Amino acid sequence: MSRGTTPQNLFFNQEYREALAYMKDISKSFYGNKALNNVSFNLRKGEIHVILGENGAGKTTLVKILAGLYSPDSGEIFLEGKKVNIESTRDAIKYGIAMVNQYPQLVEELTVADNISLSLNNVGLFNQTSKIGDKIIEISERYGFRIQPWKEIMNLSFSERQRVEIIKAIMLDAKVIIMDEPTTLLTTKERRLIYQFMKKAKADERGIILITHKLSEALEIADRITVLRKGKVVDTVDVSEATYEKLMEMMFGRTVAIHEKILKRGLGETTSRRVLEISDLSVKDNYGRLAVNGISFHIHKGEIYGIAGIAGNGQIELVEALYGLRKPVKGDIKIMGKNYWEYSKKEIKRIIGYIPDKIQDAVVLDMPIYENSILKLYDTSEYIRNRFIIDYDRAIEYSSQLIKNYYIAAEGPDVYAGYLSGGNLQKLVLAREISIDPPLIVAVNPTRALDHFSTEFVYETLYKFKETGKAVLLISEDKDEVLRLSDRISVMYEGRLIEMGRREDVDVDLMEEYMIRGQNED
Amino acid sequence: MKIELSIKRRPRELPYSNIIVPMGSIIISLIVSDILLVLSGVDPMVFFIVLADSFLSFSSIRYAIPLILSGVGLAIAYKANVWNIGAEGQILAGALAASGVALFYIPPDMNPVTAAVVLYVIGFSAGAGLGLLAGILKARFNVNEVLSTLMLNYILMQIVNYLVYGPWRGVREYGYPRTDIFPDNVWLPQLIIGDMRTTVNIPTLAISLIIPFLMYFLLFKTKWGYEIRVVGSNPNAAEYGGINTGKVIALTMIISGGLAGIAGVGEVLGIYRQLIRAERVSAGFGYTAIIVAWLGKLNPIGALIAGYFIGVLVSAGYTLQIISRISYGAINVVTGILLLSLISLDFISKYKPIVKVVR
Repeated sequence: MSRGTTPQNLFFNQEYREALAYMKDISKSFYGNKALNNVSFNLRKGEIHVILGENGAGKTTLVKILAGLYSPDSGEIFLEGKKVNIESTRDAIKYGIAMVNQYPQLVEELTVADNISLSLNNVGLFNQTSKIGDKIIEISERYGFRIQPWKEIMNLSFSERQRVEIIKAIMLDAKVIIMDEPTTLLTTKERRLIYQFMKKAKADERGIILITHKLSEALEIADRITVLRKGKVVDTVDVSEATYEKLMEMMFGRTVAIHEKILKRGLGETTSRRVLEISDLSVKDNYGRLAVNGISFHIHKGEIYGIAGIAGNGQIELVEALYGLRKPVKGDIKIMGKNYWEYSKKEIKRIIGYIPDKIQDAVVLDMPIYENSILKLYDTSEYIRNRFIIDYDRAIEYSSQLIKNYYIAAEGPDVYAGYLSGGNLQKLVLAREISIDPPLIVAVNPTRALDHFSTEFVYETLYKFKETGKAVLLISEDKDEVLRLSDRISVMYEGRLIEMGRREDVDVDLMEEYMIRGQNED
Repeated sequence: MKIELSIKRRPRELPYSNIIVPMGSIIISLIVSDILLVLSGVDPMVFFIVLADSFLSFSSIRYAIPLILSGVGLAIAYKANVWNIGAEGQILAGALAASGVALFYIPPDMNPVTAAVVLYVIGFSAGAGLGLLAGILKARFNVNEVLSTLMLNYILMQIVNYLVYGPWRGVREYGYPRTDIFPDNVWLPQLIIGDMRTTVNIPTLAISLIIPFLMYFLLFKTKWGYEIRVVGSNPNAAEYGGINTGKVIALTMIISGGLAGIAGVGEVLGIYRQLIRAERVSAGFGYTAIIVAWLGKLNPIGALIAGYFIGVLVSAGYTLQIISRISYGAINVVTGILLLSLISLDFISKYKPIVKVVR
């Protein structure tokens, strides 16, 4: 057989001629760990190609290479059959590759039009935002989003910000649009709009790469699905051949049954003892506006209290006041029956385990895991010898336990926190906070950066924690998460709390209405 | 055709950058400086011969002492993200306080050891107090410490000069702007090798050799060091963990100011034996110590080595002035280029520059 006709070569030739983007044998290591190992991936014109994979499987690394954010160690990239060298995001944009970030990176103080014109390289010296404004309206109408070009970014909701990024990609005339977990924080209606956009973009002969961990989403919207596991391609399949079970097995290498386990468990027993009692609390945000407006609630022992709401409705200010990072303007907080001011600042940090929204605020990236694991206990008798010397041997031992028990993907306790992925950072903070064994855990979007497995693990952990008679305040933008975990639920909208009652009584549609509008439209 | 410049953050610093960056910047600065010296008519080898010669000279040690003490202190402050550039003033504060006490309060029959201990404590406290002033302004009122410490340098300079030109001017000094010589029970003993007297004073040398190790221990083994590093690396995480940031700022300003103060004590009691004009007491050590701290990568033991190296440069500068009639200022060119290349190489070790020509 001559070289050119081996089945492999045939496959290669055909695929890469057809492909809009073809990534061949891409490898990338971080600090000796292979994030991608000889991964090949191709995207056709007019298709939605889903990349599925567990956390750390390498899906984000792969698309970041295509978007010019990382350079591969080896491998080649072809665009419409031509070999290209993508060294920066600017190169990527030039070749028509745009990425819609999970967390849109926009300048808060500028308008939509300003933000978009900033990223259009060829606008020239003079500001041409007025022309851009018309174009924005035109595009947003064509793809079915409403967006006002003259609104400032800081007045936009999360999903509106995402639309700005999408419009930007279209304005750049991107042929390849990469979407990194775009629907995680959206309501059902908003999600529909995104799907609609992807379908229209597909009809325009563009190629869409969608990263997701939601299997149902992949099955609903994809044309083809590539599954990555531990830096390697498991397979690329047509959606017609894919089933839920098959994809699960491809992702994890085994079938999973824990999925529905938690829902089937009984609800938490309510005892009379209140761990947290908040009455008439008002808190201002950084701009002096009233972000939390006279809210009251309480959490019992052995209870998870869930607050659902779209980001920016005062949730962050509420938990920061609770954790002592922000001074309330009025109201009372009682913890374990004692007034807030009876605790010292340090005591508060130890009786509240806190998993913040911005996980980077809870870790020191240029310190090793073992130093991070003692952030709250470094000056307690557990880790102090001879009055002021830190017992690092003990910290190393303790953090090795955390790594093992919480499945943190790290070679050892001396790995720097900065080299952990977002999901592993999240697990590290959760591990640290729970192992302090506080009476109350406050968790804000605790599974946002996590894959399916880790999410289940976090749910299990929080659930077990509550079952030991502790209290959990869960604040999340993901209503499904709140519905699944919480015993009692409320919605936060513009600084006020709307009680939805016990989980079994919650009207889900109504809850969604409240999250978006703060009221029932009908 | 146009040239596109961009940078990209490296996922991890280049390997061995802890050694390559300081070493590389030393080499670059020496080569560039030598070229400049050749251009001003000096034999190219002279610079290197003088430098080699200075590596084993007592004069280098003499200059290294204040540089190490202030440099280690600054490294601690910088580690906490506290940008103290007031070592110059803090050296003067230590020198001033020790001189005043030595002149007016130490009885002539006091035991020299007791006197030395008292004066070191006084000098430390004065430097620390000046540092703390800027620290409190920062912690309480959010006053930028770069401005406050810098301005305090000038204030201290004027106070010292006012005193040596005015009320403290010595009666036996023929009208020169300096105080009388201190009583000899406060003189710090100088190192004598055979029958050669050196300007190296033994107690301050000993302190400057012990302090880096002590501060290393403080920074990497104790709870205070942990707090300093957390505050410096991520103030939000410090707040999150319940660390009192204001206290940490104050602590680092006390340490860095105090160590500079000790350097000032060593200068006046160990070398001049009188308080002289401010420009000659601190002699820019406080500013040069900034380079020491960075060259040592903010590690106290690194600062010990870097302090010695810069001491060699300073000493070489004086020799150069004598033998080649090049002004002493030439050596400031070396240290200046050193800092520049240090910052540039540090940047390159963290970011990847990308230069492209687009047609």
